[in-house]
Amino acid sequence: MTDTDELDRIWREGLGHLAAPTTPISDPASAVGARMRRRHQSRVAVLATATVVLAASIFGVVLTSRRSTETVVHTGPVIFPRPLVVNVVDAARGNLTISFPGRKVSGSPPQVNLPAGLIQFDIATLTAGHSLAIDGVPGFAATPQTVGTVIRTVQLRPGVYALHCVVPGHTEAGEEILLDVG
Amino acid sequence: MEESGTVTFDRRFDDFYVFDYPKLISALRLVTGDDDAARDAVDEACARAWERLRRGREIDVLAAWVRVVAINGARGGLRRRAVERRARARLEARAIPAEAESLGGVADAMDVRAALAGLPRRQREIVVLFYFLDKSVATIARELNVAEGTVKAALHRARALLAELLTERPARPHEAQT
Repeated sequence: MTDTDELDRIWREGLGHLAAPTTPISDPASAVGARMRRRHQSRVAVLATATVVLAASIFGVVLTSRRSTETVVHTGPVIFPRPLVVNVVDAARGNLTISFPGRKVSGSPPQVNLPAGLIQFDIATLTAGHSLAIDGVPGFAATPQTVGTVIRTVQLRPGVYALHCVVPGHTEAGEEILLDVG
Repeated sequence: MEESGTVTFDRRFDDFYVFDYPKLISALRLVTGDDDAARDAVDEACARAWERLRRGREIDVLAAWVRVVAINGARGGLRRRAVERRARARLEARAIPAEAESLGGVADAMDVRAALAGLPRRQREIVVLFYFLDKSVATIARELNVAEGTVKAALHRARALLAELLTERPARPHEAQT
């Protein structure tokens, strides 16, 4: 007998000794039937769990979408500075007005106080043939000489600036406002 | 078909449960080292076989089909992996049945137990199929979906490990006298 045969014999007999005997099932049909019922119950449980999870997910999505339509109030720091909005109305015959809430225009030529920083000019030109500019502020391009509304946003440092119409004769006619920025 | 919780049984299961089921449970117990895991894997495989037959799909050899499904089933799954982690320890700690000693094979059985515990899971399956269920190399290769060379290599490794343990075994009193 070779070593291989002897080792095979030991393996066979050893496993035979190690394996505890198992008694046959007397009623296989009942055994499988019970197993099938457990599988069915397990599947029902899995299906019920999946249904609950799906319903919760749908509810969560609906809730989130509803929340997204609500007004969001930012209480933290503002990342981008919001410009001060100034309304400018440039009308015919020197009727250039500038206004914004809480501040008044006075003097001759008219003068208005503005805080230093970013200022947005909403310029409504009521008649054609005007073109506004701010002396010393290249970023404030002259408005087109057409009727309509344009928006110019500039960063103004403290100082006094003249906002006026550059069309010849218009400044002299009174289309000028001094911006006292500080 | 199923009516009021009863099962109309395929008659092939009768023979399977008498001749193959007990041996397959024992084989899976050797592989997993866990009685519950072995029974669970075999019972689940039986249920799947029954369900398959009920749906009109054929199974050529019921015992072989259940054996393959049970072995694969015992190998996969999160819970079964946890069982596997404990398998080696249980195999190593398992007491030798009393009848082994009465047969005079207790020493060899201890070495076989140690060798079995020292084998990786796949090699353990091959060893149990070959030595315990008496399946051929070709059958094992087909059922485990591996090359015959893999089966032969596993058996070679199993023999070598057992030989190593037998060599290292200190001479026992009754052996020293002979």
